[in-house]
Amino acid sequence: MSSAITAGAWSGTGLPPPPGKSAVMENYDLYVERVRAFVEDLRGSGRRIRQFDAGDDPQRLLEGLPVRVGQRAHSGLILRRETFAELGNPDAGSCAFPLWTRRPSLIDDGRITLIGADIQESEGASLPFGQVVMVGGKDLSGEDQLALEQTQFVADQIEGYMIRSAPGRVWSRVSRSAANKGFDLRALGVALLTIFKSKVPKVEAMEILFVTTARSDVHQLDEMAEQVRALGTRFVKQAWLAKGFDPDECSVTHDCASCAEKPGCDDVREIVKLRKEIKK
Amino acid sequence: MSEMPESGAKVSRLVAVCGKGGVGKTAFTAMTSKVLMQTDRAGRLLLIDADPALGLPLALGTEVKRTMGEVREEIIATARRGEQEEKSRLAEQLDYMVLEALTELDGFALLAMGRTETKGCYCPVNSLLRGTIETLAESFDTILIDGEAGLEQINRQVMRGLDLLLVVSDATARGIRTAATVEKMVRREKVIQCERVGLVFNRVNGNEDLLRRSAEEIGLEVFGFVPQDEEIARHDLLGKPLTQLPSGSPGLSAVREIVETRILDEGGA
Repeated sequence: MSSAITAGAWSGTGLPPPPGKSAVMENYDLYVERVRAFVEDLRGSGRRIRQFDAGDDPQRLLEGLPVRVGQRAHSGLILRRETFAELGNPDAGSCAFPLWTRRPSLIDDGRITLIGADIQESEGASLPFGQVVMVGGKDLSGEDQLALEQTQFVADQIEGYMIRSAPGRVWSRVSRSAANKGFDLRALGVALLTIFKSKVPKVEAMEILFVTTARSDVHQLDEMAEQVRALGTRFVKQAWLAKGFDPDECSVTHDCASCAEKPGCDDVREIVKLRKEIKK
Repeated sequence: MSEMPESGAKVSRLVAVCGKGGVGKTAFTAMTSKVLMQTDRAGRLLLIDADPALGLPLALGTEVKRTMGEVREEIIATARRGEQEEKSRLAEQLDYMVLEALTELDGFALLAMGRTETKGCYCPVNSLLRGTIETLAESFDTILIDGEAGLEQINRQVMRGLDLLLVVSDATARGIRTAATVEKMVRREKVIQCERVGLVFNRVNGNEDLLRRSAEEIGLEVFGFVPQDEEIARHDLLGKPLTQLPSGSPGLSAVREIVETRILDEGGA
């Protein structure tokens, strides 16, 4: 389900649409509410819920964090034997998505909510993992969708935290050395807050939800994620269309007709190019 | 079996095993793996089964859930569908797919290439996957590849260069001829970049001097002789992993010497 807001109430904000944006636009605000309802449902079901306040000063967020955060703070593979706890293994279940709103007041800035066990309580465990990043900023638009999606997968930016991502899924491992230093989901949340606010400066407020309770809980979140992803895809497409590029019509042109499989190869070359861009 | 060290000294060794079909490459690779697992000097160990027959997991007593061949098929299928969004997603999740294909056990990690069903060479797919495997390999200290008879497949799908190529032959003229062909491919045709090449005779039952002379004739240095070993034959017959061979097995002892003198002592960049 998604909500369509008509002219005069762009993104349900009561604000006029940003220049160049359609007056009829869908938005995530409803999903922010649904995420909160999800948390309350689980609270009602007796799940353990903890909340941390990381504060709202981006300059001070990293103070006291047990691990380094920043470009290349981590590199390489954390093998299973070196892992203190694993999150979101495909066998355990995983779900991750970002939500954005142009109403920062909807977001409890700096809040990290954890439903379920934390890293330090989970030595040797492979936990299901849900991660929802909710951000607010009055200047945010569909153009930021892709950046938000990519930023949620913080590869190589947190010491002792290895992440492998697929669309909508996070599979991560916390190394023994990071856990021994005290790395936990609060620290992960603070690191995410810092990275998002640094990479997407339009983000004025941000909160994070982590779920580690059960595959069924993560699955519930995943059902919501499917609708969120569909909306996100439309945002990305709208952003491309606004630049005069139709991703549905675009195709790679090539001259070589000597091999029947050449078109497929060219498509793969495009994947190589996209991958290089992601790795930058 | 020792646990994999958290991080060995960053000395990467890239070793591949090749040779004629049926000479015991996989058994030799499995025994080499066992020896490497038993020493701290090997560091983090990655085994790559580049033979589509997938014999190495069996010889190691493990199973693989997903092969790189399956990853390759998924890439090709996505490319054929041609949806821009799907291609973007695939580019993002390649490392995820490779981690799914990585089998991790106490002493080693194993990547099985498997076979591919799609016709066509798909060079860009090979290039894409090879790049991903090379990146993965950077996290390991010793990489041991069980290859096919030839080297093209290693070059195309796994690695562009090796530190050491171990050519395995049995004590037959056919095995030695294949070894000669491999030598030609490496030294003259430069099918793959390779620092060192050595010949290992497997299932040897005497005639070492004759075999050594044959090796000289084809320009290959003999790195060792692995004797005919009934214990290995029994393990193979019963389907028991070769990693369970008793440490006193004559075959394993010969492999240990090759590993210590030719891989660990001389290896490293």
